[in-house]
Amino acid sequence: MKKAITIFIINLIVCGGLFAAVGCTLNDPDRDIRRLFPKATNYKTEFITIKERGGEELLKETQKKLGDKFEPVYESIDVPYAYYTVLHKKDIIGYVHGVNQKGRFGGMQLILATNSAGVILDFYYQKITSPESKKFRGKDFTGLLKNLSLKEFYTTDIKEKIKDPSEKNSQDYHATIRGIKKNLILLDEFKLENKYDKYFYKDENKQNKENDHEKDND
Amino acid sequence: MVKTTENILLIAAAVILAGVSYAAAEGDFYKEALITGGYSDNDQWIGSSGRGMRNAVGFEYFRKFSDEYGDYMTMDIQMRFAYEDRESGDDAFGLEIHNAWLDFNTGLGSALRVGHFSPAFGLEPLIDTHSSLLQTLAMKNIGFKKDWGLGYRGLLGDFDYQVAAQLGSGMSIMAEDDNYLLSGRISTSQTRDKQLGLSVLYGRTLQASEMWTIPKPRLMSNESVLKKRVGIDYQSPLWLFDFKTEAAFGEDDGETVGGAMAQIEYTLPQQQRTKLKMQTIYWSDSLEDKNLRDLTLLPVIEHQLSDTTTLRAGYYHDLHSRKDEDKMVVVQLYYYGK
Repeated sequence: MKKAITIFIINLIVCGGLFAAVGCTLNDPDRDIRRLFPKATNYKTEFITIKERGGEELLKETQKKLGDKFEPVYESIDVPYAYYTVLHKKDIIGYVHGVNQKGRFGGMQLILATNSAGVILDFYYQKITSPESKKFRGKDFTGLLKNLSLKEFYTTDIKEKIKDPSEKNSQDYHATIRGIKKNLILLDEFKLENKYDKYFYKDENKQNKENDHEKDND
Repeated sequence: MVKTTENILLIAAAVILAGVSYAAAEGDFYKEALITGGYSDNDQWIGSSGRGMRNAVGFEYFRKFSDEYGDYMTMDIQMRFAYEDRESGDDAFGLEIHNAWLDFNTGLGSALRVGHFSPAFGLEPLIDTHSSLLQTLAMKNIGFKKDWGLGYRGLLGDFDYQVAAQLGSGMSIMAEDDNYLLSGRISTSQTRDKQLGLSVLYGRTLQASEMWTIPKPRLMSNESVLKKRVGIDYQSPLWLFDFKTEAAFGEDDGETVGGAMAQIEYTLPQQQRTKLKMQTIYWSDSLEDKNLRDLTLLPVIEHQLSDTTTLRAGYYHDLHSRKDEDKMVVVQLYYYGK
């Protein structure tokens, strides 16, 4: 027994190095998916990390799209993001996916349900610690997210459409908007083959075309 | 016959673990290590908490099995080689199998579970306490946190329910004096931030003197204990705190027993890697005999050093104890990573 333990410890020391942090999984995925997708027959669960899908390059690109740096406690490169692909028999009818987001008084867990095109069907907090959590959880606020997609986050000032429901906790409001945008960016990257990139890179493409045109004229 | 059954079950467990090793290339494989030490008024310098936390190294392997129709099976195996400094020689080393279960989906909202998992009673099935200094009431109430057997969970309108039929032997697979354990829990939905659960338990359990699976632990008695329990549990955010509580009452061989646990947790807003926790836990093996009660206060500070490593420090203060009342400081370094 002692020998086995010694070998195991050596193995641990030699192989150690790649780290993982706790991601955001649904507490009760069966119930959530039945509620969010009454036609669902089952779902498929995957755990995906930025590290595995694209490493530092993807991290940089994601931060660029988000317009903010990732935060080390909740958003390390090897956080496993849980994706629930919702099925009706063999057909994909939507996705449910959550992210951890730093809030004012602790971690928030933001859950989005989208259709197969990435349009939000529902949004809710699985966890929020805030003196005004009732206002954040209220349908008056969460309902405003319905029918939006990453397109609106890339092309419009989303805070004009979705107003802060709180009186003294705007930090949690800004964190919520940031977390939802991050959630949609990662969904686009991991599941939707970057279909919304055309909206993010629109201005960049336009600028490139203008530069090309100027060069042609020269 | 009993010994043959035990051997067959142990071989089955070994086959499952061998299968895991083969399948590990496909799933999520994490290594973990616990380094625990401290100082106790009664025992002076210690290398374990004496309350479930030992120096240990191990792994967890988790995998979802899916096809074009979705997930059909989930597997979790978590085991550690542990060293108990209160023992000596070979008796100080053991293999702890914590989780070792397979979930078979039987429809959206229901699943059949087989293997080693928490009885369907109280908070233990909901909270991962395998590395935490703060434990639920399970150890004091049932005598162990996980057991071998079959379970089933499903949805009942707005409620979640789970039932389990297990061996009543805890960490190891043992058959002695007709041991078995039946348990059931019904609760409000786990999707909500407030959850209320009601539990019942009935069975004949064995009490082992060591908390590991291999080598087979010694029994404190060859006679099983007839346990009957009802329990209630509740967890909710409470302003800026997370609050958890549970209580259980019933009989052990006709003796009235019971206890309760309450825990509150706070994350420092400016330094969210740091959490402050406070727990109080009470248990009495005879509500009529004051000498058979334990009451402990346990404040804990927990700081996440990196994505994989957490440092915890706890202070155990016995207000009442059936043994010598103790005051103990325990520090734990916990690693969990790929």
